[in-house]
Amino acid sequence: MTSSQATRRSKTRWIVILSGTVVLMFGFGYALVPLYDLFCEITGVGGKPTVAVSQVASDENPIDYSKEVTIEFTATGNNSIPWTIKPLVKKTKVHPGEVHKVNYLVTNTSSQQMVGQAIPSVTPMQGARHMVKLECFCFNAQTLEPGEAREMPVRFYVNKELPDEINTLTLSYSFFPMNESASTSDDQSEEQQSSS
Amino acid sequence: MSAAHTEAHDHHDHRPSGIMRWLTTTNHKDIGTMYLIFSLTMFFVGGIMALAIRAELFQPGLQVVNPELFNSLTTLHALIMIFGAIMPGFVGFANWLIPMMIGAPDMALPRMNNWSFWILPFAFAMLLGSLFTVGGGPASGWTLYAPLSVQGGAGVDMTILSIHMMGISSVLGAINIIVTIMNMRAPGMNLMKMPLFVWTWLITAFLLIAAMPVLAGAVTMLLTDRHFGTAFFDPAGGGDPVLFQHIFWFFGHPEVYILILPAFGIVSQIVPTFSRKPLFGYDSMVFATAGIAFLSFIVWAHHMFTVGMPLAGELFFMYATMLIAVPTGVKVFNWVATMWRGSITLETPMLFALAVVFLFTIGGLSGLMLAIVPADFQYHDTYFVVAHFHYVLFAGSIMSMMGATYYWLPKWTGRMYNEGLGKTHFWLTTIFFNVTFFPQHFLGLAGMPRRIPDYSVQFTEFNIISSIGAFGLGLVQLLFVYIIIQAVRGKNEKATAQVWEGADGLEWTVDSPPPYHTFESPPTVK
Repeated sequence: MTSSQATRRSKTRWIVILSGTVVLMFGFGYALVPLYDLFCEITGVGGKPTVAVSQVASDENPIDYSKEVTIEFTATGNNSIPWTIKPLVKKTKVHPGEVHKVNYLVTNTSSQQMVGQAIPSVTPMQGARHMVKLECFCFNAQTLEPGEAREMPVRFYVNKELPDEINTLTLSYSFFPMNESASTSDDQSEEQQSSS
Repeated sequence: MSAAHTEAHDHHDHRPSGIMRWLTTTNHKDIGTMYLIFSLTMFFVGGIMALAIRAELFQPGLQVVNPELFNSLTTLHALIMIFGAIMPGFVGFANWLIPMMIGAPDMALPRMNNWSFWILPFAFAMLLGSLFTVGGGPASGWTLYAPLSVQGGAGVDMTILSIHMMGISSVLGAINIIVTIMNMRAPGMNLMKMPLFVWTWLITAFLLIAAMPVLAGAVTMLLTDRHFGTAFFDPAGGGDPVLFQHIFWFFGHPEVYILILPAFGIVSQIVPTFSRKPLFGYDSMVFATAGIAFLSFIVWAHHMFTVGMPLAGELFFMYATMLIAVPTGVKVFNWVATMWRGSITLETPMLFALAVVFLFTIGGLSGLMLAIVPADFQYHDTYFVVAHFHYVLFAGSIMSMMGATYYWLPKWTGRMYNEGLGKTHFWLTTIFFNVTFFPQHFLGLAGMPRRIPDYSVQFTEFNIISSIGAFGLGLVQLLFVYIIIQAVRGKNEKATAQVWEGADGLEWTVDSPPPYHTFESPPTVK
């Protein structure tokens, strides 16, 4: 084997290695998406509240009456969907571990049947992971008839690991329109099943 | 087969003439020249945009450009200077110098070299074309933060596609440089004998390979969010705009070292020559460069301290960022130690190298201030940041390239440049640079936000000073072009092969100007 052949082979090897790295790093950019979600879920910093059933108050795990946390409820309108949303209670005080239920009134102001998905957010974000929802209208897409107003519930508790320096949590919702096909609401899927 | 191959190369200097020479060339010197001319052209295009910005900021209120155009100008100024002026400029130097410094006849992949250059004019034509679309150019800043970049018209799509093209060009260039350095060194030129410019470019090329594809991924996600119904960055679909910032800066921080490491290499070539001493601490320079490259991948979130990170995250990114000061400090001390007791003469390249060391250090120190989390909450998105990155990018990268041009121009053209004019250009550039950017530190500390066409009246005086400096700085660069043209036209004094008394390295062993093909039989390195 001459030295020029050796050089050529080495060149080819380097080109393959480097091109492979380029492809790999392009993929890594995409891999950051699930990694980021995972990181936010573990640390609770993304502002997305936790959905879990652990730590509900029981005999072994009593409600902590020594601490009181103020929960504020808000909602933000959104230009992309003609719905109004407002909490029926603006503010309540809860003890960690105690399960509470609050209703939001959601109205479809348009003259069409529409499907919307609520996206929750909790501030301050350090508290987001400690706000645990048991039931929420944000778990599913919601379908509203033209002009229909409906009370929608959210059941939640605050877990006891909430840092002491946080004494107020704000739970906020905003609705976004869903494509008809992407809907997961019951009557919608029934229609799809019957048609297929 | 290999014998026929050698024979074909015996026809020296045989090449097509006219425009076809430049379109079809695979010669590293021709391609290097094209890169450098392209870089200089883009430097002026981006510079004119900067002057439009400074004209608008000359006084409070809205006078010269409307706010939409202002936003497009700040975005395009940054994209053009980073991807059009600095990166192609350094690639131009790499093309000219790396084969000559390691004793190779050409780059390893000459056809790909041609292609990676010729992508660029089309990419930038498309980027500039975005200004003329309905809805105007990209207005989100060069960082293209979602959700603003998910909105916007066709101009944003053109920007995204042009970034894809620039990315392909620089990745191909980087592959070429690594393959060349790894395979084509002259016998005896082992890795730890390579000139430092070659070392810094080798490490830069690895950074490019690792970072550019991540940017390509980020802008591809933007594109699919805009047109194909994905929701990477749209909260309505379960996405998160902060995710874009993480992905972008995972590319963006290595990118800033891509923009400065070759400048470190240039300074490490110039300072020993004019101190007439070998570089102090060669090994530590190599390791410091590698150390900076490694750290650059774990500090990205210091660009986004204010998005609301856990305390542990902020502390990690703060300490990691401050750690970069250590290898950077090693470099600065090594340059100073190289000059210590040297017989220093102050020709134009040396003046530029000294200014780079001095002014880059100022930019490095303001960078340390920005790294401190609580301080950054105040400085974030103010003119302090603008001052900081112009001290490292203009005084660091651009001025190192000016110094490099004076240093190697006699080698390339065979003629000396006009030393008096060169020194005039240096002093005016340095003075106007500081007049432009030093007051911006004060503006930032006083709270003037960046990327806004209007400002409160109390910021007026410093903005006037800054704008006057900017116009001076822009005008002086015409002198730079004149000096280069003068040397290229060949009326000046002839240059010797070594050019500089203290110059050391293989590129100084060939004639000035070098023949079209150099080192067809490899030199021996002691």
